[in-house]
Amino acid sequence: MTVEIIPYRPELTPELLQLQTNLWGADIGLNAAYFKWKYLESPYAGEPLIHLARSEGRIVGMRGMFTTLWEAGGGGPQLLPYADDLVVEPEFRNRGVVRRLMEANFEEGAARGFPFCLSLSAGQVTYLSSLAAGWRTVGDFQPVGNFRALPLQVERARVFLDQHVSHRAALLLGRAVKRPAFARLDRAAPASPGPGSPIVLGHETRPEAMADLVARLPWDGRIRHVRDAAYFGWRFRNPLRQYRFLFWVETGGGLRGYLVLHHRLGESSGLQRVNLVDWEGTDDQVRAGLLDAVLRWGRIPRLETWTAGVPESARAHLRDLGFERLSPQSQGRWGHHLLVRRLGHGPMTPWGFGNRDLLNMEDWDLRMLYSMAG
Amino acid sequence: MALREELIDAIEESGVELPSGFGDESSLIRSGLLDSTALLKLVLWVEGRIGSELDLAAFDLPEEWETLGKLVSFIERRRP
Repeated sequence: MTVEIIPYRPELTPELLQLQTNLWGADIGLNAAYFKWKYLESPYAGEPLIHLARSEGRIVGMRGMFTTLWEAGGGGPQLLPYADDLVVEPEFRNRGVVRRLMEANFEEGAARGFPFCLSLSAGQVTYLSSLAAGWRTVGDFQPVGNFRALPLQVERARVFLDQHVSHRAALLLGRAVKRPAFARLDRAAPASPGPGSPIVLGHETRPEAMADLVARLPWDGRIRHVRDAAYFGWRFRNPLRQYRFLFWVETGGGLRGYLVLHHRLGESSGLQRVNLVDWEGTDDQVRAGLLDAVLRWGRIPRLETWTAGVPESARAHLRDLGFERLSPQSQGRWGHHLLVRRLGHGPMTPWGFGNRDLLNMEDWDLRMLYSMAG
Repeated sequence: MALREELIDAIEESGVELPSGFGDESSLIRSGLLDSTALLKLVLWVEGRIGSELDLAAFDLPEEWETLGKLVSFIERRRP
């Protein structure tokens, strides 16, 4: 079976969406919405940088890159492709297809003038094949999690039933205790400020106010994604995710802080996992108040976030609230690393961006928000 | 069995079909022979042989694992 690598064309979209049921989800309609949001509606979207593997007229593999906008001290905003959505049908693996798909994307990325590409969501297998394709690893995201005791015990019981007693019994227990991830938060958190409580819950983003806050906060020049109103307006419309926002509202309607949570739609079993994907505040008190509010109102069974690049005061507060480093076993030993790869010659020095070192994790201001994992 | 033959067995058991004429200088990485899950299995196999976990950020994998000969040398340098 010969395999040819071809650039994406709009008429191939139905086959692409079918293939991605292996990765994104079983719902073709949701996959279509996700594709459109990610590759066509992003404020930085140009022509999608996607290559497909085709064998005997059938699409059997895909590697996509979507465009992101980054900034660093001493360097202006720079568009960089973010590599994602790697999938190859099982019978076509270990035949060089992954490498050929990656190479095709690298060549086109270089031809379009991108100096680097990056990845923040490689799973274990993709991570290894990425290293083999010349990617460099910058470091891991230092994920931490907070697990509530009772749901955790129930989950352990469910796993025990599944492994040692009965799959059906485990399913029944899972269904009996399953609650929407944000059910408690939606009931307990106020929708408008009250006396002595400036924190409110939102179901929708506030792009201008959030961007205004980020612009007002000091920035040390570490590499970060541009967070402007266009980005905030697009980022939280991911149709495969559900979002909640806590806003610390100033008198007059501006923000002193915000915190964004997301939950992956369609999780059918296990603890309902929520990720804290972005978190900003004018000072430590605001940031701590937002985090305290999430735990107090949300009682989320499993809350996770990244701590790479987070200030020590915030790390300490996370520890005080019971967040623990997630074990490599639970994360996949080689997953969850920041990867970068050179594409060609551009305005950046070989492994630099502005006055920062792309290969030094200390030079990155990372947030789960920037990753499609978040 | 010599390390080289054991390594060939391990590569084949990871699901890779080695082409005829495959030898010490044949490409494993740039050719795409070691793809995705095969690479994962081979990393675990190499770790078993050297008796410790590999820090994949600490060496140039595409260069040092590019051929069978290089991979044999890589393991021999790290064996206890």
